[in-house]
Amino acid sequence: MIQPQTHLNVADNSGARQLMCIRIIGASNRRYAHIGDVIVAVIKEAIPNTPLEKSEVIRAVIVRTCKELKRDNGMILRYDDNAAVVIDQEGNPKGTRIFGAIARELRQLNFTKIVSLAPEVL
Amino acid sequence: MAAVSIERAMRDLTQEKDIKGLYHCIHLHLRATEQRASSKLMWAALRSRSSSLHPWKQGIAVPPGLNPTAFYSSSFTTATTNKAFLSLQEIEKVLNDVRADDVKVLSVPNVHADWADYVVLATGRSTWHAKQKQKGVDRKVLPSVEGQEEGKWIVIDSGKIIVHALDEKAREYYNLEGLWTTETSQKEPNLVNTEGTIPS
Repeated sequence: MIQPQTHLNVADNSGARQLMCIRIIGASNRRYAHIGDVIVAVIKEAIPNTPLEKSEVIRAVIVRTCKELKRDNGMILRYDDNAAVVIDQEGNPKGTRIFGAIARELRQLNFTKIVSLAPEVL
Repeated sequence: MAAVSIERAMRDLTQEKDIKGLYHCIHLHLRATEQRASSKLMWAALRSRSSSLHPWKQGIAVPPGLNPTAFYSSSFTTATTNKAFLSLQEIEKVLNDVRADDVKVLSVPNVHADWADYVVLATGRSTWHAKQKQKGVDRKVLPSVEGQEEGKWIVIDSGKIIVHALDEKAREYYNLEGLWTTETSQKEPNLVNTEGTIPS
């Protein structure tokens, strides 16, 4: 359940450390975003000397949420943090490596690139 | 059908030079596949070889949400029932035909055990012209093609085999080989250990 003003961790090596959601992409009046949704976010914290800087507006795809994700087979998936991966307009990841586990739903949502970079797919 | 669609995708990718030659190659390849389809012996040989190299999942382990029946073409049903998707040989052949540079096949059964067996990497000579509008159903079904609009990094996802086509800069930037080969080399010692302990 990511909504505007939610702070998210960054699960890649793009250089951003913390994001704040400012908009959910996909519908005009949508309240919450879940795993696999694209959001517009602002960088709240960044690692020095990296291409991304603080207060930059970027796009990101949500890869982990504290709110549980239910699968059709009854499996429930929830993480300890809210995390996102910084992408560009075309969906290419900005970073080259991704940290932590990724849900396999991302593959069906056409984020195969992120899934293939991920160290673990749940 | 799947083979034809990936060929078409590849053909779209490499339209920039020597188009006649490419078409010729692909035509040849098509004819070759026809011949292969007709001669079941050859198929059987290929299949047995591939199964000896790598145990294909017998019960067609399909990721959830993907419909395996969509990939069966009428002519291939008998030959490819336990493959379900594109065969590795076909992909390699297509990539060779379109003269992709630096083709690498990595098997990742340990790292991404669940969702893919093989990863095929290829480099294009320039930004591959992927702006061709390839309409129709064959693209909507698998193999799903991703990133075809800008052509920097194109992923063709055909179930157990993932084909990554990158231009040179992107390949250097993302360093996918580095990622997978180091991971497998980290995993390999474990594998060796477990294999060593089981017989002893």
